[in-house]
Amino acid sequence: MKLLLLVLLAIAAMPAAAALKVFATVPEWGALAREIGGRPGAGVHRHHGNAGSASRRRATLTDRAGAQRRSADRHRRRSGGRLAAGGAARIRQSAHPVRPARILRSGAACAMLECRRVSIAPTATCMPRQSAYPDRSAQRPEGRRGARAAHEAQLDPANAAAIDSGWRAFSRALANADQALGKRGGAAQGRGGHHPAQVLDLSVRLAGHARGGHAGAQARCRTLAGASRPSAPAGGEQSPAHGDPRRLQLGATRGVDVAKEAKVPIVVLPFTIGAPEAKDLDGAVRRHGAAAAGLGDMNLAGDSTRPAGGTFRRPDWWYSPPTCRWAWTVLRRGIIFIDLAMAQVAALGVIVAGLAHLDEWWGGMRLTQLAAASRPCGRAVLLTFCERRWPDIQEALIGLLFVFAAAAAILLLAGNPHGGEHLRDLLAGQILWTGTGARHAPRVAALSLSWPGCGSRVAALAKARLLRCCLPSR
Amino acid sequence: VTASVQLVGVLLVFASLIAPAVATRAFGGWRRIVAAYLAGAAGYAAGLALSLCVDLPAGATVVCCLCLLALSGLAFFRRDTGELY
Repeated sequence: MKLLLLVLLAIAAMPAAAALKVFATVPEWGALAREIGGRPGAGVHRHHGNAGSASRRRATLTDRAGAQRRSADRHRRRSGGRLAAGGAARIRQSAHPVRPARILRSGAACAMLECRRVSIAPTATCMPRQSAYPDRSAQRPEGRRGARAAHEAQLDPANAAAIDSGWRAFSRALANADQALGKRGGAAQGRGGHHPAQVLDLSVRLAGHARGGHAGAQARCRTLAGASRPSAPAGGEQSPAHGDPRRLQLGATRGVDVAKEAKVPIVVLPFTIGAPEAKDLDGAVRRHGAAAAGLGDMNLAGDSTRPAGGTFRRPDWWYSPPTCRWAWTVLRRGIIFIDLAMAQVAALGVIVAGLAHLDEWWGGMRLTQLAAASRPCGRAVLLTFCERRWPDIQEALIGLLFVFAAAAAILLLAGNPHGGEHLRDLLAGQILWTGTGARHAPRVAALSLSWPGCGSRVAALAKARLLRCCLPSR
Repeated sequence: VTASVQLVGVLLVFASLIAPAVATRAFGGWRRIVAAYLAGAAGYAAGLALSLCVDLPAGATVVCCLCLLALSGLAFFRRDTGELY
């Protein structure tokens, strides 16, 4: 007991080390975070998905500068020194990009907003959006590049203001962290010779262009990389930092085409984690789900390079009943109607089983249930494939699946004199009167609803795995 | 849409709206419009012919045909613009 008390006292006496945690989805933005945060060990922990934004599910977080460098080098080597169109194509093949809508749906941005609401830390998120630039109305003075420059000049001031405020919040968080570490002011000026706010200004610029979409990012990238003349600065472009040599240096040292990467959603998550806030963060993670802004997807729990200061735990929903998890996943990913489609396909399975007289065979209802269950499983595989292949029309595919299942049910029961009743029963079944054949159904339902102590755990795991497979991956 | 739902039913309206658009995802501009019209017409023709031959409900057959058409269109035509997504 004394020992325990001593340990507790020692823990309490430890200085509350504040640190800024930056999570970026792509190495390039991890590099940007490094630029923002200064050297490692300066209280800023950076984590980024090392596989680009390929698969946030599988991304192993690393905050080692070496890994960062290696990744960037590999990237550069693969694309022959620069990320040209071929490089982009290769990226397209090798890494499945995460789209902003998907990130939004998967809860990352939402969770970030949540984080802001629970005041863990100010967060900034930048999503590439084509709508920031009026595409159609822009003239094209000198081909596409000229058009891009023209687009860049028309950065939506409202968007720019939003981005600026977001990054200002970020800079405040950074300043707080710096203050807590006692490295504000002279120290910050001393290391690297730049003040965080200055670099932040730069990152605002980058983020703004990333948000603007391909066009602006391309033009800005050329400017950053030290083009002979900067593209036309106008609107939100004018800033005190314009012409800052650091900007050129950043563009040059990064050596990657921002334009290519800007199409990838950028999620930079700053957290200030002190001793009390860590608890808060955990609570928030628990409250707002795994999310932790997509951090749950980043395999934080099982990662060996897990940050020592932050205590990310696997959220509670993992231990919840499988149905809850199913519902949670469906809600998180915004594919509500997959439920409907699955139910319809299950009904189709029942119909097929009835047509094949499966229910008269061995086990009666059980085999029908099996058939009904195998159908959605097959369809889940199909949907997974479709989703990997065509992630952006996922809802359309779900809808088509539903419609197809419904129409197929109608077709299958077309020759059946009791078809209409059968269909109606499947749509809105009897809850008061059940036939003898359905006597196993409650048991099946109970089996699938109960969590511990039955074999459905395996099935639930498989289901969750299946669902999680739907996230884009290599 | 409301009137057509009363006319031909929910499933068929949905399939008619979505399936051609999905099938012609690879194209762009006016080509896509033309291809979508063609795909829709083909789906309807195939579905009606099939229902006539096999004596099946016409609406459901057309829906199935449109769905299959959408899937095949997705599978056969690839969009290759070099974009990341």
